[in-house]
Amino acid sequence: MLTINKEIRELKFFMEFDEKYQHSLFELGEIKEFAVKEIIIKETQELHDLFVILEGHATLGITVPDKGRINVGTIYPGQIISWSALFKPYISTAVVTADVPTRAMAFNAKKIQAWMEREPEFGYRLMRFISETLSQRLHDTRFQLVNIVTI
Amino acid sequence: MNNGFNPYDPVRARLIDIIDESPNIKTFRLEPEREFSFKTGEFIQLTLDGIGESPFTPSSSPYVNDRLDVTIMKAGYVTEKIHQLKGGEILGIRGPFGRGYPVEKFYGKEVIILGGGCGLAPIRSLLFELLEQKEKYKKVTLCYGSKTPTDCIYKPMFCDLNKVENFQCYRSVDVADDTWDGHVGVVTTLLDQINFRLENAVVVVCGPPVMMKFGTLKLLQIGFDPKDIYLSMEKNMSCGYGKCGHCMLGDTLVCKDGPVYTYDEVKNYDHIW
Amino acid sequence: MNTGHLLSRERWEEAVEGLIRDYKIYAPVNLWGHMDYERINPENVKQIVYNFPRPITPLKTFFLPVKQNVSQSTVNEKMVILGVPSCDLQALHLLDAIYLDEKLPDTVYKKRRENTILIGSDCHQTLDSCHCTTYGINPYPESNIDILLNLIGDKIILEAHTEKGQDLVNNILSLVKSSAVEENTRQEILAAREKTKAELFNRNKNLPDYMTTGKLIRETNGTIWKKYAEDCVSCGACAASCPTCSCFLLIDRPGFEKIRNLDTCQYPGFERVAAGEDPLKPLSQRFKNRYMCKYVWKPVRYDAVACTGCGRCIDACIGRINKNELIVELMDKVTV
Repeated sequence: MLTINKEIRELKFFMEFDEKYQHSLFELGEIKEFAVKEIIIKETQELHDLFVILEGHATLGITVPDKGRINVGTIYPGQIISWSALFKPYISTAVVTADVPTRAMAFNAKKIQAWMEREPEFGYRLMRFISETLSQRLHDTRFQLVNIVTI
Repeated sequence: MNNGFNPYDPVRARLIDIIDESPNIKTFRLEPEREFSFKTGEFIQLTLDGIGESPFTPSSSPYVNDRLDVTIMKAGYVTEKIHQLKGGEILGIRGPFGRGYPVEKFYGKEVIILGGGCGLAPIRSLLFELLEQKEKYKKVTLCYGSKTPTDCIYKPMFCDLNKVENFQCYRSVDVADDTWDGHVGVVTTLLDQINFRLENAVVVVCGPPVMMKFGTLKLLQIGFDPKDIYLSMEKNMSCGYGKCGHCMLGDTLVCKDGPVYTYDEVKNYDHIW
Repeated sequence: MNTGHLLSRERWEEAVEGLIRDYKIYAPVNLWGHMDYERINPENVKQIVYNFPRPITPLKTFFLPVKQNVSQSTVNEKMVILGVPSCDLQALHLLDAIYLDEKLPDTVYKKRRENTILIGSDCHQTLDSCHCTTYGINPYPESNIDILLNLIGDKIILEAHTEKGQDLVNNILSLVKSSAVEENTRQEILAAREKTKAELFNRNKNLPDYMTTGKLIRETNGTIWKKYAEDCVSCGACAASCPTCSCFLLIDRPGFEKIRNLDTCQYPGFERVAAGEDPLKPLSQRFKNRYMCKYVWKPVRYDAVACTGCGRCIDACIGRINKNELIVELMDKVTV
């Protein structure tokens, strides 16, 4: 069992769930630590875990032929990465690297999926959080897209 | 005020310094031949003799009235010519015109500033104003975004401001390569990282139209009252004082009723961005 | 004031000749079948046309010339403008609200206004496109005049309305013989007014009033603008001939001089900003903008009508766009 301090409990992701689910999440989760510049998720790799950043921050990038890596976003504590682990074809869409020493909690995607099926209320809460995240990232991406096409 | 005063006659000002801010943005320091005072957020018309005139909001402190900084992005005919200046030339300034930032309404509140690109110019002037009476504001948070790290202007200002009590600055870039270790993402993503009490905060937004649009949408999503979102509207002002009709925004005139509006005041007009 | 003086047309023309020394006088004259203001000299004083509806050129051009150096504070000569119709005088309410704004008046406009004596006249005829009464304006001057002048038969009737006007009337009376206005002449003036008013009213019965027009324009969707804008070529004749369109652009000349050029939102690039954004880029948007400005925005901002029903824009349009047809179509759509 991990030591879960108040700071972790109050991260945006965990605030989404009531105590019962929080407890189960902490039981399921596995803490992973990443050093500076260490890759958390490789691009186009098969994913097995959903991550919630607990400490530090990480940069999300995409590798472009001839240009190398283009960074497009920073992910902070309380935010998720690797949501693709829950959806077909379970392949990552970006590369994520720790900017500073970073801790994240990893959840086995298969177990989470099974849990969601079993307990729709949990499923709803998690899906709501993912939807909000995706809606936000879509919004930001549109902003970025419009920025680029209007140059 | 009317005795001999001609609003079309610019005050002459000498260009005493030029500061490179980014590949296409420079700050021009002007020394007017007579005292020239303005309130933060008001704008001036800058004349390049015989070439043309363009509206700009000064980027210097409203508490300094013997010189004036104007930060200009190379964007069109007049600004292109201004960028070719070497220093020492005489320019013309008319104004100040319009309604600037109503800072007295910010007293006792958290001021969040969302700036993008060259939109940091009016904001720098606003920051000077806020610094002058910093005890009046609960907290000042600047979120500034530029397209790439090299497009960021007033770089030294960020370090200085972070040393001031209750002032915090955050920077982001839309895209970056691996040499940049700061925040990456459109400027609105910074809003997720900062702490504020929604009910006691006001937001000032200034930047390119695309950024103003997405910024405002994000602020509304967060739950800001349209009356607490202050926007700088850009229009093609010609006369500067409500006669020429170029800057009509619905039944308002940006040169008189603006350039600073609350979102509440403009939300019902077509084509604001 | 307002007692009225009667002069024979001949005496009046003598008086005008006498005033030419001190004033630049402009009056409507028939030019190849078109009525327009001309500078009056002893040769054409007899050709002045009285009580005719609006001349081709709107009154605004005397105060806001198409092109003017606004840096030089030249003292304007005194001007008398004769035979100004009610629609154009009404337009001054809006122009004055914009240009004589107490806090920051336009000094160049102000000076021209102050140096000008306006002599208004009743309209004893109407043109096909005239529709002032639709917007609550009578076809006879009720404001903004220094003197009212009417020709009844071969008699000129003068009535001073301001001190400035009274001074000029006194000046005229000192030059030529006059008499008091008899009651039957007054009755004739009133009868002519009623006749013109009835004529305009009957012809324009199908047109909605100003408020309703504004409401129709505000509430319509985009299709009507696209339809009518198909015939628009952005020539700007509607705005140039309009007595209330007064937008301008400053052009720079060496020596920090500013030249004021009348401009219009009908021209491409009117609202284009440095970075290239232009909300009025599509022609149909520009077309719509003028209607929004006239019937929705200006009346709210300045509490003055921005269309006086002079009808010049209808006659001037080379695409034969008739704004009243557009408005009627809007109304039909709503009532259906």
